[in-house]
Amino acid sequence: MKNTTQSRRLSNLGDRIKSLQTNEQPGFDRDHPANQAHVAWRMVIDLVAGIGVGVAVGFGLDHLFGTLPVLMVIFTLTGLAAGVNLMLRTAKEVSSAEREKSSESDGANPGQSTGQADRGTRGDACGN
Amino acid sequence: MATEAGDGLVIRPMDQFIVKPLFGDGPLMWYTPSNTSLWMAFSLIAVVLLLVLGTARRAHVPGRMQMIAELSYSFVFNMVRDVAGRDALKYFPLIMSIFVFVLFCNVLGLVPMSFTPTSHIAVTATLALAVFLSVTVLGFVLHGFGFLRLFWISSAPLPLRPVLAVIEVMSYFVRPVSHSIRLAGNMMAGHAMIKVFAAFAGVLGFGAFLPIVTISAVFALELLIAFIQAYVFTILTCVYLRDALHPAH
Repeated sequence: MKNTTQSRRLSNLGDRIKSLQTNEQPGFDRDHPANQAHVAWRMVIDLVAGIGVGVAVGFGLDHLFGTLPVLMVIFTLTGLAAGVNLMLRTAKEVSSAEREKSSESDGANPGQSTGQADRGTRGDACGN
Repeated sequence: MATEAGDGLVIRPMDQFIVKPLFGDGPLMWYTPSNTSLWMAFSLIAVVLLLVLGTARRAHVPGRMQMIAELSYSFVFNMVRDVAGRDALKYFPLIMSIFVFVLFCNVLGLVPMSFTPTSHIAVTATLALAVFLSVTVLGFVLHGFGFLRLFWISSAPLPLRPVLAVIEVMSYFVRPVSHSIRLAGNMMAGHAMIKVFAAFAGVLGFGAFLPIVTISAVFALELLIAFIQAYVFTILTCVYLRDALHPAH
């Protein structure tokens, strides 16, 4: 009699621990939309910095060779292309992280037993 | 910083970023103790207090300080492992140092009357250049000239590759610039914003209910941004490190 109540309490405790463990989210929530704003900022700043570096390099080389508008135009366009390139790379990183996350959530149930060890890494992989 | 001058409200939100020598009004040389170096020293002291003294007891059941220290350690450790790969863990000390230093500079800068070293491009550009140079040197040391494959996109058709290589090289040099501007810009913008609202509150006096509520809200946002920007700075360091370790696309 006493044994069954004890084992029931023990299994209740086990359930509670399990539910607390799955709900627990240490650190800050990186998937929250407000915390993903930095990705947008990263893209914008990369684009602007690309053009800025292009103008600076072009102007410097022009100053050196005395061919004022030519190299500046070329390097500004190159800088723009470099900025877009960095932007696209950021977008690719984000989308691959998203895909990884969705494929993980599809296969989440079989992987539940290893959830303890994986949880920390999974949250971090989504942040880049 | 607002004074009611004769012809209306004067707001000087940028005065807080002026670098001043700590003692006297002499010229500002690179060795002069200034408010920048003071607050960088404070953040170093805070790092030592948290990570060295906080974990000195090595308790099996960690106290609050040790808990925070261990959490930040494992946070950066997981980030390096996931973003840059297992073979990047050798360089974990560098990345952990960058993270805690930037984080504490950002957060201590939120203390009223303090100074934020990371709001100066001079500071963030030095950090970004340190990352850029060490990652580039590391790439050449590990791969020799094979590191240049980073710029040679073998998946693209051959005629396009030289053009793409130029763009890739340009992107490589854009990265430290955006890396430093991002951190300094974020820090500077938020602090200037708080200062502007503080000037409104100063002018309104006792009726300054709205500006004070706004300052509280912006302050909370700034606390989040202080953390996120340290995180972004660190994670981009990891991304650059990954490129140096695995240059082939």
